[in-house]
Amino acid sequence: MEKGIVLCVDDEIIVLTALKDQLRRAFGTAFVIDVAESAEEALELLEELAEQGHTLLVIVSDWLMPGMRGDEFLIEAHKRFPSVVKIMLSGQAETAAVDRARREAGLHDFLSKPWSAEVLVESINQGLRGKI
Amino acid sequence: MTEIDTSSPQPETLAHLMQRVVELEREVAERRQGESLQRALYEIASLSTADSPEHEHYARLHEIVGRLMYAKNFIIATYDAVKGLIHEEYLVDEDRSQLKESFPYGEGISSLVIRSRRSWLMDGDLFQSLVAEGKIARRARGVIKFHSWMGAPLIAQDRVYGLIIVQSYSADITYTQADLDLLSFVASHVAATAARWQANAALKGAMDDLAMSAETLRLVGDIGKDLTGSLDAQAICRTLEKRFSALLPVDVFGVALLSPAGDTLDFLFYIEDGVIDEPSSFPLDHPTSLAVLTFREDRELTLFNETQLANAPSTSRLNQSSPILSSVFRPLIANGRRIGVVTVQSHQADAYHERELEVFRSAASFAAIALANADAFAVAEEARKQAAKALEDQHQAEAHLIHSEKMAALGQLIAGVAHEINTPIGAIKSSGHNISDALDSALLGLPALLDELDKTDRERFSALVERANKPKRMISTREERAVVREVTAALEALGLDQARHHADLLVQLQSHTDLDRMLPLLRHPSADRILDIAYGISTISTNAGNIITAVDRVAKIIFALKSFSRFGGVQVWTESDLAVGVETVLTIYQNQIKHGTELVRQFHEIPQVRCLPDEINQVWTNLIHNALQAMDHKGTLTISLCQQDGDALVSVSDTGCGISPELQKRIFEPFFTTKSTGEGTGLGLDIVRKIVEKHRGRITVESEVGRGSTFTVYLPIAGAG
Repeated sequence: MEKGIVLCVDDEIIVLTALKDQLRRAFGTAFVIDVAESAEEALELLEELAEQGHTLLVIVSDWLMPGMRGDEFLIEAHKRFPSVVKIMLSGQAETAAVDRARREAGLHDFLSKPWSAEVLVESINQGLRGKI
Repeated sequence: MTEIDTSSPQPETLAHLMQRVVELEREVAERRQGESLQRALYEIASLSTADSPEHEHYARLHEIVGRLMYAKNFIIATYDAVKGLIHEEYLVDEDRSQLKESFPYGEGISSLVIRSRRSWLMDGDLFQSLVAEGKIARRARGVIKFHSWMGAPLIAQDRVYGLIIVQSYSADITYTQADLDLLSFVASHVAATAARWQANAALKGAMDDLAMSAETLRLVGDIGKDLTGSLDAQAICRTLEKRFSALLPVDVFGVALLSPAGDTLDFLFYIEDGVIDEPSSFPLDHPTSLAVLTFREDRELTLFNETQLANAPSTSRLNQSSPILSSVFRPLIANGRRIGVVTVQSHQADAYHERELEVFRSAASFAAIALANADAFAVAEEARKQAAKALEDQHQAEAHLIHSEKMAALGQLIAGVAHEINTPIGAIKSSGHNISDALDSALLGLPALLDELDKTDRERFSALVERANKPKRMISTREERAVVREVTAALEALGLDQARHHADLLVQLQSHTDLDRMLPLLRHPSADRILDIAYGISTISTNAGNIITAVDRVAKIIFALKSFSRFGGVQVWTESDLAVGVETVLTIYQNQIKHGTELVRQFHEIPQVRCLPDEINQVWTNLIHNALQAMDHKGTLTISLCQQDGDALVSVSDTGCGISPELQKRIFEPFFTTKSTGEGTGLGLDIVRKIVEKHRGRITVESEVGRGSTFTVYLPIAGAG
C-alpha cells in the first residue's frame, strides 16, 4: 500500500527545509513528506498525486505567499480533498482569511511561526485521529 | 491850427488878427494845460508801482494835483467798506487844527461823496441846503470854515477806494465846474493807482503769509520727520514736547490716547513745569476734563483768558505754582479716526497766536499719524510675533505629521516585517531542534553501525556522508520532486524495497547520481540504518546551513529597520550612497515585493549624495509603497538610479493603474488621498515633496491611466548647499 502524503507549502526554502526534516524525523517512514514552494505548485502536485493514486493526508500551508494566498489554496484543496487535514502555519495572517479558511476549507488548525515541532506534530496527529 | 501870414497883413483884419492872437494864446494855453495834464497823469500812473502807499507817495500826488489846480488844502482818504471806516491817509491844511483822522462812514460830506459815487463842488450855501435837506449832517466835531470845496470819489473797477478833497478858505479862490471836471479826471487815475496799491499790498501780505507758512511748514515738517521716524509712543511724546518747547510757550504738555477698549482717555504723557506726571486716565463721560470734552466734541478747544481758565477744571493733579492762562486742546486724528487729544498750556496770557496755533495744529496732525503708526506698529509687531509663533507651531505640527506619517508607514510595515522575522525564526527554531534530534539519533547509532560495516562498506559510508555534507546546489522543489521520481523508478527497477523513501533520502544525501556505487549499501541488511544515520549526520549540516541563512535574513531585516528609522536621532547631512538606501527600503518591502512583483533594478554608478539619509529613505519608502499599491503588488517595479548633470536621479516606476492628469495636479497636496479612510493619511506625497524641496531637489510624475506611473526625484549631488 502506498504511504500517505504530508504536503508542506511555503514560499520559504528555509521553512520547507526545516519542516521536511522535522516531519520526517517525527513520522519516520510512516508518511511521505512532500514540499511545494507555492500554492500553484501545490495544486499541480495534488493533481499528480491523485492521478497516481496516492493518498493525501495532511496539508501544512503558509498563508502569505506570492500569487495564491494560503486560505484560497486550502479552499481549492478542500474542494478536491475534503477529508485532508488542513493546517495553516504562518508568521502573519489576516484574521478574516483564517476565519474564511476555517469556514470554507475545514481548517483544522492555525499555528503561528515560529512554531514548535511538538505542537505541529500533535496537531497533525490529532487531525489524523479525527479522520481515521 | 491856423497859419499866420506875416508877409502881407490886411488892414481890415486887425480885429480878426487880435481875435486870432487870443485864440492862439488859448490854444497854446490849452496845449500847455493838456501837456501838463498828460505829464501829471503819467506821474500818477508811475506812482502805482509802489508796494503800498506811504506818505511820500501821497505827498507826490499832492504836488502833482497842485500843479493842475489850487490844492493848498488837500486830503486823501481811503474807505474800508468792511469796517465802515474812512481813513484820512494824507492831510495838508492851512488850518492847523485839522488833523488826520479816521471816522465812521456816516452822514458827513466825505460819506456823501462815497455814497453818491460822484464829485461834488460845494460852497457854504450848497452845504447848508444839503444839511437842511438832511442829505448830510453837520459834523459834530468842527465848524465848516471852507469857502469852496471839492470832493471826488476814487472809483476803480466799480469800487470806491476813497476820496480826494481840495478846499479853499479864501474868497479869492472859488472852484469852478472845470476844476471839478479836472479833479474828477485826476481822481479816476488816482483810483487806478490806489487799486494797484491795494492789490500790491494784498499780494505782499499774501507773500508774507506764504513765507511764514513755508517757514511753519518747514518747522512742522522737521517735527513730522522726527516724530514719524519713531515707533515708540513715549519717544514721540518726548520729541513733540521738546519741539513744541522750542517753538511755543509750553509750560504744560500732554498727550492722551483713547484706550483700546474705547471707554477712557489715557494720558500716556503729561508734563507740567518740567515735572512728568503719573499716567492718568479719564472716562469718556468725565464731567469736567477738558481733554475729554475736546475728544467728545471733536473740536479744538482754546482757552486764552483767566476767566475761562478759572472756570475750567484742571486736567492736572499737580499743584500749580502759578495759574495757567492759555491752553489749547486738540483732537488727534489719524486716518480719519480720533485717537486721542494733545494739549499745550502756558502761564502766559494770550500765549498762542495764529502762527503758534498753526504750528501746534500741523504738528498735532503729524503726532497723530506717528502715534497711530506706533500703535499700528505695536499691533503689527504683536501680530508678527503671533505669526512667527504660528509658523513655529506649524513647523512643529509639520514635523509631527512627518513623524506620524513615518510611524504610520512603519506601522503598516510592522505586520509584514513580523512575518519576515517570524518565518526565519520558525526555521531556526525547527532546525535547531532537528540538529539536536539528529545528534541524538545519528551519533548515538553511529558507533554500532560502524562496527557492523566491513572496511569497504565503511569507506562507502564515509564517502556517502562526505557527499551529503558538500554544499547543496539549490534546486526547486519541483525539480527535486522530478529527481526523486526518477530515482524511485530506478530503485524499483533494481528491485529494491522502500524505493520512494530511499530515493528521497538519496536525493537529500546528494548520492542519487551514482546509484551503482550506492548499491552495495542499499542492498546491505542494515540499509535503512545506514541511510538514516547518514541522513541524520547530513541534516546537522543542512539545518545548520538553514539556521545561518535564516539568521542572515533576520539580521538583514533588523539592519534595514534600524537604518530605516532612527527615532529621536538628530538629522545630519551626510554623504550617502542612494543605492544603499533604496536597497534598505527594498529589504523591508521584500515580502510585499516578492508576492507577484517583478523587481527591476537599473542602478548606474553615481557619486554619493549629500543628504539627510533618514528623510531620503522615507521618500523611497513612500514611492515604493505607493508603486506596489498602485499595481496591487502584481506587475513590474522598476527602480533606476543615474546621474544627470549635478543631479542624482532616482525613479520609481510601476505598471499599475496610473494617475489621471487631473489627479496628477493634486497628488502632492497635503491630505489628498484616493485611498479609503485608514489606509493613508494623504500626507505621503506631500511629505515626499517637502523632503525633496528641503534637499533643493524636485520631484516629477509621469503617468498614463492603465499603464502605470513613474515618479522621478532629482537631488543635487552637492546637497542643499
